[in-house]
Amino acid sequence: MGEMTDLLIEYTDALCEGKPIPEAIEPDLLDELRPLLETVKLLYGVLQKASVPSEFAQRLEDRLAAEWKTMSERPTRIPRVLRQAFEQLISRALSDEGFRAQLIEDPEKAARGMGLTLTPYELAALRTLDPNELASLIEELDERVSKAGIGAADLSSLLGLDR
Amino acid sequence: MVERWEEDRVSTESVESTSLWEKLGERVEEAPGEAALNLWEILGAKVDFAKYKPKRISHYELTEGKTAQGQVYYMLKNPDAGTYLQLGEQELFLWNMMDGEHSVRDMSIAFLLKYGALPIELIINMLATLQTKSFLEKQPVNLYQKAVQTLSKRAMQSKGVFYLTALRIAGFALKAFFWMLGGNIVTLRNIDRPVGIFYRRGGRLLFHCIAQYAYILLAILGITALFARPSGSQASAAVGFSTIAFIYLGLIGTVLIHEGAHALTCKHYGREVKEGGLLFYLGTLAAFVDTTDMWMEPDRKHRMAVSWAGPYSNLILGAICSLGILIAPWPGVDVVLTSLATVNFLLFFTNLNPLLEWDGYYMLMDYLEIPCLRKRSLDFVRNNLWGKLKARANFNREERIFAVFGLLAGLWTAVIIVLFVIFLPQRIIGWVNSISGWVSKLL
Repeated sequence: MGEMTDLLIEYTDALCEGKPIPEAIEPDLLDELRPLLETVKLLYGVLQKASVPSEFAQRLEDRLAAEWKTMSERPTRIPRVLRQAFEQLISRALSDEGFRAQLIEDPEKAARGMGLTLTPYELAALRTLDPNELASLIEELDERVSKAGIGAADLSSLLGLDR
Repeated sequence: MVERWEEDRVSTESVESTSLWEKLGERVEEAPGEAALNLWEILGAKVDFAKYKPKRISHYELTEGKTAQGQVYYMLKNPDAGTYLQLGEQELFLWNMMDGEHSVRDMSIAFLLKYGALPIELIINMLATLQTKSFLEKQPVNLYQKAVQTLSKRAMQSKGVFYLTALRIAGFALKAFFWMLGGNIVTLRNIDRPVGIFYRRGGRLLFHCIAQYAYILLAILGITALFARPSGSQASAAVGFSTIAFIYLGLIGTVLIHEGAHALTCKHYGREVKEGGLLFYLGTLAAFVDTTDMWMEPDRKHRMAVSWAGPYSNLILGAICSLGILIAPWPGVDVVLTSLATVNFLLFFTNLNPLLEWDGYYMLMDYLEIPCLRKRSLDFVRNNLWGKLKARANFNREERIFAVFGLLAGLWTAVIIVLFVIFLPQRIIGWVNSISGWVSKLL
């Protein structure tokens, strides 16, 4: 989150000051930020030559922060510091079928039962879990052995040669 | 995002992933004492499924295909073991993570974030299948099975020589019986290269469009000639040794052309002919070529073309023989050509029967886009059909196919096996009579 905000500020600053966009923005982060960045670019593009009033800048920043908050609730990335708890949950779900069902039904309760606290991102990720078993599409394949033959006896009978 | 997170994860874990002895050594150095050396914890981690890091083989081939319904699938080949698997998109995601760096837990989390589901059963099934088909490194040795085999062998020896001999004879007879139902007699490996050379040095002309029109014309003319034959022109019973020799040479040629057609068509689509040779199939002696590599061909029409090539060659050969009878109706030639025409038309229809594993089966399987159609249908009939019928449950498309095909294939196979068993003594007598007949004619 902090990293994202920093990048956003860096990006908007660059736009305000007419500098090139920082290349440090990684492609995947950029993809996620693209809708927001497009808005920023549009607004700052209009006001590029005029000085931006501080009040407007503040409101824009607030608006962007609110939008980012909505966007960041999607379970796309788990903060590093909280991974351990999440991993513990998944590890247990891998070995304990009953716990797995509980996790799908009520992730918050399942985590509390293990003495763990999950972040909104992690909870959002677990709440989207599909309770149905995934259909396996892995298929073994037949050996394709083309055969052609007719036994000697069959041919003999066919022609009456064994009489 | 997932990949990025995974990279972070790998970088932090790779530091931790050392061998058991290294870990133990580190523990001893860090804090000598009883509490620090938690051997059971380390051993626990070694057998923890969540921490298991499957590693796929490094040498493999992957192609992408699409079903008629637009569903994407992937064909996976282990060229060293000669094994194949079909994967879905989700399985491919897991396969790509099986690099020996990611644990089952890592894979589950990444999968969850991408697809919103926990793939536990999926991973278990996938790992079992990958292991069976030699797509994973470090194949575990089944010590328990080996131990059971050794113990049963010792137990047998202790029962005495008489029982052992009787059991050996019974075992041999049973083995011979099953061998005649389906076992290789001669297997020629490395036939891909000569077939490839033959294809490049002229065989490819057989696939030219002019050749294709010629085949159609020949087939039409030949079938017309078959029906236009005068009714009295049947093969005479009085045939000499040379006639029989020509018939058998023609028969060998027919079989070679049939299998050659499969092999050349396989090369035409750039795939490998794994092996060829002679085998028994349900008591019938047959030549074979293995074109399993056609699974790597994404277009099902090309796969069907390879299966069709064999019976089609018989149709054309039968047609040529029929035309030959009209052109050269001399007594000896008439017998040879009539016999070969009959054999070729018989082979054409036999091979199109999809209820046994002849060419027609592979064509039907490709048309329906259901790999292992026979096995899965028979499994469905055995395990699910009656339960579903009792519960009056609805059948989806696949289940309807499995039910109909499974019942028909099972019934047909049973009939063939029963006929094989009933007529086996007569066939053996027939073979003996034939050989004595040939010898007497020769003399």
